[in-house]
Amino acid sequence: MEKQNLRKKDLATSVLIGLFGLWTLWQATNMPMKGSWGGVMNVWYVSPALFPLFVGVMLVLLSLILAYNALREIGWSGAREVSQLFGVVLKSSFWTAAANVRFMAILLVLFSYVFLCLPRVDFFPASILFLLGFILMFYPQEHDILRKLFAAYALVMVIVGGLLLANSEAHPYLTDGGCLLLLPAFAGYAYRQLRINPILARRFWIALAVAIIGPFLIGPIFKYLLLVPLPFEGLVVELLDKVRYGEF
Amino acid sequence: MVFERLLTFFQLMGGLVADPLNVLLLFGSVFLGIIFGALPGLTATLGVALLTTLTYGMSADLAMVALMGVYVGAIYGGSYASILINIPGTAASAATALDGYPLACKGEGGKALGMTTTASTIGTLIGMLFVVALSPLIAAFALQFTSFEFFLLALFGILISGTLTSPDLTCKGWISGFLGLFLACVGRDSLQFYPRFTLGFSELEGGIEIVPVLIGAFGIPQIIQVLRDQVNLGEAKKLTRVLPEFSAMMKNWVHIVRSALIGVGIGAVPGIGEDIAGWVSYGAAKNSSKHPENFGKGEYAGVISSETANNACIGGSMITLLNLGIPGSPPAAMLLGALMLHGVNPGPMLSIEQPNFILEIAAILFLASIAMWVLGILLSRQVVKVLRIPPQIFMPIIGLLCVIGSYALGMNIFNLYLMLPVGVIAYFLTEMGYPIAPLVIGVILGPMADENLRRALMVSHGSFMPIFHRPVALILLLLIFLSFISQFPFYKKLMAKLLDRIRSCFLPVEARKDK
Repeated sequence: MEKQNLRKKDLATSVLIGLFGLWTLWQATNMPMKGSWGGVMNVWYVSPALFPLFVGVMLVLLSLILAYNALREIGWSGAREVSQLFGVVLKSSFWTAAANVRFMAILLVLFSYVFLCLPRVDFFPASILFLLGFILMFYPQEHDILRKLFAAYALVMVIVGGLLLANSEAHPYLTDGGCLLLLPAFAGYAYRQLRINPILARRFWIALAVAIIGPFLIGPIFKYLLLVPLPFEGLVVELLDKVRYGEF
Repeated sequence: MVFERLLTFFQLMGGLVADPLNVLLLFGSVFLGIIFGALPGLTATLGVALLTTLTYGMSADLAMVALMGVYVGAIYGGSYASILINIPGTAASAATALDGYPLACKGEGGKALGMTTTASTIGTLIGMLFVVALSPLIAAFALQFTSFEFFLLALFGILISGTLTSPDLTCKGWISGFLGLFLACVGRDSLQFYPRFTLGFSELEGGIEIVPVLIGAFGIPQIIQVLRDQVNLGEAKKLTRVLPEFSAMMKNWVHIVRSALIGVGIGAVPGIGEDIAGWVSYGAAKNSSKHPENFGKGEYAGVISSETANNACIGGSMITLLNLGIPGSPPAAMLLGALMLHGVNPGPMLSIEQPNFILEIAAILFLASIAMWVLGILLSRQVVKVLRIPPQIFMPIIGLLCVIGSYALGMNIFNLYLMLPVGVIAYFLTEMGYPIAPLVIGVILGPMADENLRRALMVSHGSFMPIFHRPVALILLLLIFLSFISQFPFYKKLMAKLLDRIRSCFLPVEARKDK
């Protein structure tokens, strides 16, 4: 049964890969094949389109092989059921299933860190918030707590987004300061959820310690030992710079 | 002549050991390399790249001690993460994870690490021997390759990786490889600088950075899988012995020797790095085994083969780097930049300008392999403790390292915007039975395949006939063709019929009648 489902998914992906291969071919045909480019007359065998054409053809060919394999195992009747796979996504049970909530929580934490916080907020508060949220959501291994902290973390990210919009040259540390205030707020909310159970409460303190020590161990290694500037250097990095270079 | 070279080699080694600063730097850099290799997201290339900036103020000799130490340590260090948490610390140790992780799950992680430490040391030493003794011969062979061979070699590397790593249908491995080749097409092409698939993003014009793709493709899916499926990484049992038994190593001597030779051979071929050496060697060990079904379930031969080959590959890649000025692998490419930074120009003139330089590199390789073994055996016991850290704590830290590691190489935030989506796509592909290694290999070998195909056709004025006139190219083409059609049912039926007919020809007449 599991293999049958995999083959149905294979059929769906073979369509996607085939379409992607066709798109590659279409893009490649727009590249200079015989005309002049940069003052050089092209011939087909030195054209920049040659290799993408080869890749596109192979992707289409392999997607056909994949589709053939899938159809051979599930038959045309099975192929008709493939559309049901997409229908599942529309059901509310899909979005509330424990594994899918965990998946969405992981994506929220990773995407918000990479696309929202890291390029615009000081490395240290951004990374502490990332680690604290990430560890606290998963370390307790309690689904209810995960759901509550997922919602709280999403709210924190909305506030960070708002702070970023309000950030101006007159208040350069507004977001960094806001994040430093949001950290104890999020930690306090998480502690309220975990304190009822001594094991969970202990896990909270471990998570907090790791979330603070981690960035303060990794950040200075990159910044001061490997001489790699951090993605965004704000309030905390400037303070550390003053300590490091004795500017006080 | 040989004795003279040997004498110079030992003199150089003595000179290196006599200076405590060299020894300290060597152990420090090998240790740093092991850490870089062991931590997913930090690769050998990144280690060499980051250390290059730190060695700028040093002399060329001292810088080489540090950079070679990091290189050797990082290639070996990748096995820690592969064995203990099933995330290849570096692409070179991706094949190690196939059998290393099942061994760790059985509680034999320490023994596996002990075996790989010794195998890596032997691999590095054999690679070093080739640098000293046979480098001119191997370089001469690699010099015979033309663009057609390089193109076919890249294609063969991707296909063999797809065939060997696919957990489901073989064509999924190939699709993964061709998706990698597509990613390699992104950016301005190297011959005419025409922008391909850049979608209007100026950041994509320089092409896709390999390191973020590698980190995203290997690191992010593992983080998602472990946390989404609430996977526990398995606990290491108390280790009784990390030091490998002599008899256990001797039992695998065939695998060690074969893998070292594969590693050196592949390393000597420009552009083919430690990752392919690991995969090819793993495939060779699996194919030659009496029990290939045990591979992937915790077979020591698999772990030893890939680790011996990837470390032996260092020696091979140094042969082409030093004699031809062509890097054999991505870390070797970084090393090339570092050498030029220090005023050393690798190439055919190197042995004339600096007669002892190659021997000095060989001496550093020898000492680095000894330092690696000492540190590896001492560290193995400690690193196994990584398994005791709950994955819910460990994985977010790995996530942080993946992010900062992706950013650090080019100091480009766009690398992060690339790494994460690639990681999420890689997760979905993994879930559907697509292997990720061919995708990464496709990205690495794509530029080589693209450039060499067009260069070859430019020389032959669009004719493919030179392939049929060149034995190596013809063999590679046949191998590609066979590996491709061998996956189709008609080929399997045809081969079965052919074998039946051959067998019946040799059977006695009575037996044929009975049949």
